[in-house]
Amino acid sequence: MSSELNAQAEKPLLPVNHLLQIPECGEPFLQGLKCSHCGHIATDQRIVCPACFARNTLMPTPLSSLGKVLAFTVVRRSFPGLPVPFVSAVIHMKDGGDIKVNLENIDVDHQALQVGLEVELIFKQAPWGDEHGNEYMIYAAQPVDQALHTVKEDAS
Amino acid sequence: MSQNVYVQGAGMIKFGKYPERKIDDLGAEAGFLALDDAGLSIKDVEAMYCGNLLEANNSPGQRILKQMGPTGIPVVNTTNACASGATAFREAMIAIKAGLYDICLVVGVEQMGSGMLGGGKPDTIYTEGVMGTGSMPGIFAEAGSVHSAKYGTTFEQFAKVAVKNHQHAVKNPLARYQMETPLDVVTQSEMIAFPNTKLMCSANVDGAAATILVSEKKAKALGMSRSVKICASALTSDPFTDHSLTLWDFNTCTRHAADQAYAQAGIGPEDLSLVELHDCFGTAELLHYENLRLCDEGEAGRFIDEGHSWAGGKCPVNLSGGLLSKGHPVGATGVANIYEVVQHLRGEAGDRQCANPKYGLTHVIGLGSACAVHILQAPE
Repeated sequence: MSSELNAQAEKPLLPVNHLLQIPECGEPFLQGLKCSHCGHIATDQRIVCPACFARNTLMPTPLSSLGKVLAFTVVRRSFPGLPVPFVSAVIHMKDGGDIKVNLENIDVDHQALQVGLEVELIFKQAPWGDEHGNEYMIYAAQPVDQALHTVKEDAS
Repeated sequence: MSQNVYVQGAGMIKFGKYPERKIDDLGAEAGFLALDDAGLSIKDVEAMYCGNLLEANNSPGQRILKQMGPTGIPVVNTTNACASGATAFREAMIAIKAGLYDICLVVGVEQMGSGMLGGGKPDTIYTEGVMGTGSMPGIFAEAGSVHSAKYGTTFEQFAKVAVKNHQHAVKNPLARYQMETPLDVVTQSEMIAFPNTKLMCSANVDGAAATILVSEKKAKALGMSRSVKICASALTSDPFTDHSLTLWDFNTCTRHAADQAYAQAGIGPEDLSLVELHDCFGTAELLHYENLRLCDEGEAGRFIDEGHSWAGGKCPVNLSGGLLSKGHPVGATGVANIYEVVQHLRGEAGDRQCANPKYGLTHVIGLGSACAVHILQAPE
């Protein structure tokens, strides 16, 4: 998907944050920092392990593309000019690490929208760029269960 | 601990919108109310501590002192998110305990502007609305969703916080709003971030509150009949917890502060007569019932259903109307909570007076995070 996204773009999309990795070949993925001492996976930029405070133990580690909703809200009023509603969610990834995303491709009023819902990552171009004209890739989550999707995948 | 410190004076202006005024005179007005309450003059004050967030880089305390009488005393400005005012109060207490001063002025003050708080400066692009929310109503809604998933806490239970606090504020002339908001009005008001409706979000106001802190020696010299003893002062930041890198955890730092405060005061939550806690959103107040040990784990919904936190209940919470109805001028909030508890402990809270209070607890939490808990004792 990323190669397609980047092939379509006039210049390559930049990663929105330090977690997002965009290889030249292959799919984008998220990368956290795993502590070789205690095993905790940090998803923000740290100098020491946030869990055990060990120094020089954090090593890059890919995060799973699957996870579960840990917390969420349906935002009906945001800052001026932003489209609503949208679902904001904290996702706990399958092998560790937590991320913040929009949960998309599900009706915001759906009963299945609950803590514990199984989701997968999707990667896309951000709807706006920065003041220097750069465009960015972002990530979001959608339900694993395709029956919940509001936009069905093309069968082809 | 070293010598005891007492609240000898307390003052608060009516919270509201003052676009034509500056924090200089809002803070000075509260400062004079506190001085007059203590029967002291600005010339008696040996140091000033000022809590403020949004103008913290522009000497808010010195500007207030210039309005009150620039005596040349040391002025310390504290900024610590929503705990800025409580941090100023605590620093003044520490200085008196250390023996440096006998009389300190504490002012918390803020002009808020309009709109929602939240979000930070982005590293690349602004991601609000495309990678989740950083808005405060949203962040605290997400924390509520965890409690609901774990314990079945309902939208109506969170909404009752707003019903209660708006009802309490009807008897507080200094609160921003004096209006009852029945449950259906709260649940049907504009949904901001489920389950927080507009009436379940802090009232955005300007405000100022002040206290005069004195040493035990000075309290005795002034007569102790209205001196409120500070039995405990705890300040924490947020320690690492499992999901705290992404899901703000304002529970753990509150629990730590509460446990430290109870240990310092030598009392338990069952000894409290009233609590002023940080109800920045409807969801937050219920979580803090458990964080402050007012009820058992998972029992917060039942605690409000059974009326325990309402006026006349076993532990009334936010008799002032709280942040939801009194208002939340960030730097002033922590001092205003203390002002409210002081009024009750002295038996001077008017129509909303809590019956025979002995101990009161104040709590504020600012994301970042900073949590402050104080326990105050009624004059003997």
